[in-house]
Amino acid sequence: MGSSVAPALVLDRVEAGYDGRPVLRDFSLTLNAGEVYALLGANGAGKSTVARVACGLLPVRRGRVAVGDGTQTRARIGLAPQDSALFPALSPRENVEVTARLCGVARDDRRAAVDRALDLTGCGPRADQPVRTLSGGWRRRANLSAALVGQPRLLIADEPTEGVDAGTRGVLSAALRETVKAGAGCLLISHDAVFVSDTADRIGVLARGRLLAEGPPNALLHQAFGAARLLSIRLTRPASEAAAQWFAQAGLTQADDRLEWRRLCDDALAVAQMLAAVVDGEGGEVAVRRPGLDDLVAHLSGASS
Amino acid sequence: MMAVAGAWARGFWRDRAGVVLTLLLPPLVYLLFAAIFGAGARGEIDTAVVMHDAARTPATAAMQDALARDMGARLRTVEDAGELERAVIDGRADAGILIRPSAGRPPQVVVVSAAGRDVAAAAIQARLEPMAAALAGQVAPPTARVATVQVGPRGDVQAAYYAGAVSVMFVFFAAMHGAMGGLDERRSGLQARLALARGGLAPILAGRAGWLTVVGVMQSAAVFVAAWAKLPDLAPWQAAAGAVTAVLVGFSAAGLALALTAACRSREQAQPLTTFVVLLLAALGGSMAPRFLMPEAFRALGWITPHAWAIEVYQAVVWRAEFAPGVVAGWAVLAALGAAGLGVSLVLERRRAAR
Repeated sequence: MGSSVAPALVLDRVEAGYDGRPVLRDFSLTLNAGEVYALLGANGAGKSTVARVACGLLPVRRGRVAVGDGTQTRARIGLAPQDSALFPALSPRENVEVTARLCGVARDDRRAAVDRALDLTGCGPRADQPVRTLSGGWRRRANLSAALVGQPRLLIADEPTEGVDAGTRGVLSAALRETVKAGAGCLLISHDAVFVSDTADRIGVLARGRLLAEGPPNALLHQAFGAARLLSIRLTRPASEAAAQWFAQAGLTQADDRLEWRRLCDDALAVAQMLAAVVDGEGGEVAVRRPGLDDLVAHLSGASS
Repeated sequence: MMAVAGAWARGFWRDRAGVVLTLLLPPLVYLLFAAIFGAGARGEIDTAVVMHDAARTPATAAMQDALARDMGARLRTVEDAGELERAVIDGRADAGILIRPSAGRPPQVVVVSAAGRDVAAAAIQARLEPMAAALAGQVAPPTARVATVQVGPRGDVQAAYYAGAVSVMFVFFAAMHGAMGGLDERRSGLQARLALARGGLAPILAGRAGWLTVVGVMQSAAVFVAAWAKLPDLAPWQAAAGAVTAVLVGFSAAGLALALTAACRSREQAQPLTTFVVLLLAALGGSMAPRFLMPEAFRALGWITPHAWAIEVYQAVVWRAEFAPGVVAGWAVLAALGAAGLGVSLVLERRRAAR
């Protein structure tokens, strides 16, 4: 990132919350232009609050919020909310046009801007059908198109892949990458670990209003887990007493649902082979995989509590 | 602002059934109200009467014949006094006429009434006075001791009154219903997106108010078109003043509707609240029945409603053809209410966005 380009968003030692109850405390985040920054965290961690602060919808009690070089108007923020934020009786094209007009896109440039935004999300084939007749996936595309039409300096995408298929997920990921390539910064809020892995340049893990860690996804995964692999045993019924004893002796811990046992370790394959006969006897399955972003969030959130 | 108003307009226009109901129901209800309540207020009460002649004298028979000729099918005779009372009590008749024999004296004429039908009883009583006097062998009291002189414009004042009254009621209903679209936009995040794109909530709310005002004007126009034949001939200035009134009624309804829906968290909250407020304002403000029929306290209380001001202004400019200071005062009240509602909605929506 060129150092001469101002960050897309800076939150500096921000305190914000609702009804006198602080959600973010001493919270700082810098989102560079040209990058997708994904915020991860459990429900209630404060992700949406960060988005609302960034938009200016939620005033901060302390700290500083700057979008771009500080001279940007809020019109340069594109917001793709979690729900389908569209006029249901209008088509995606008309919805995007309304946002373009409100963003101040000049009349002569409007048609091209709308077409571009619709093309970015692949919304063209359904661009002229009323939104209320579209499936969830097409609504997601239209929702993102409306956020992109003003060529925002900062794009905030809240759960853009909720309820969409793999194909649409790929299209939306490409749309976000294309947008940041043009110089915008994207704050992505998502529970979709695969989408975040494919799309984000950096991630920040949030818990109880504090940023626990941030960095490129692979770097954070490596930092947290090294070469360790996650061994998991999935049962169809709670383990027998003998099997539970075996699992515990092998260092596995039981999940809350009592049907899964897990252990993060460097010798996960060897442990899996050792327990294979016991798991077979219990009618379960063993899996060994690299820990993912979900595991990272659980790991960091658990460690911080 | 225009982009938001345009989006709402397109959404409205594409719901064809909604368009028809919005523009057709008010004139229909107006025609019904004018026909039902207008006649009553003009004094044309079609009272149904039951009669029992227990005296059975030639004189009372002649009286019964005279009444039958006068009232036609609205007069029904029954065979005994018990049946007469039952007919009055259960509402099959608005009043009863009972002629009792009286030993050694002329038959006695009694009007039988039930609770809540005092007006019908009084009308029958007035009609029977000369006949009862004749039965008693007395001279009928003079009927025109007090003269009545009608002043002001001639014509169907009730039709003109209800054109204003019904249009105001529907404009408020439609505004409340329309403003609930804002609740959906708030919930989905569309409102936040639009506010971000435009740089604030004010243009978004102004756009909504603009569109709701347009719907109000269309509804008022639909009602006045339906009433046109019964209105006096309007001078251009009267039509223009009526149009200004319609715009201000629409604006005040939009402001109030936006404020009320901004105060609500969901449609489930907004629907009963707005319905209650609209009905209350319509009742107090004279949209359902003229305020001169109300007790004095409610008549005075009516001035807190935009309905009373709007109806009064319509009466002044459309019926009485006078541009009095009260017209300007009414316009000011309606405009102030609309602006205040818009301001309150802005404050409430901003506060809610920051929660």
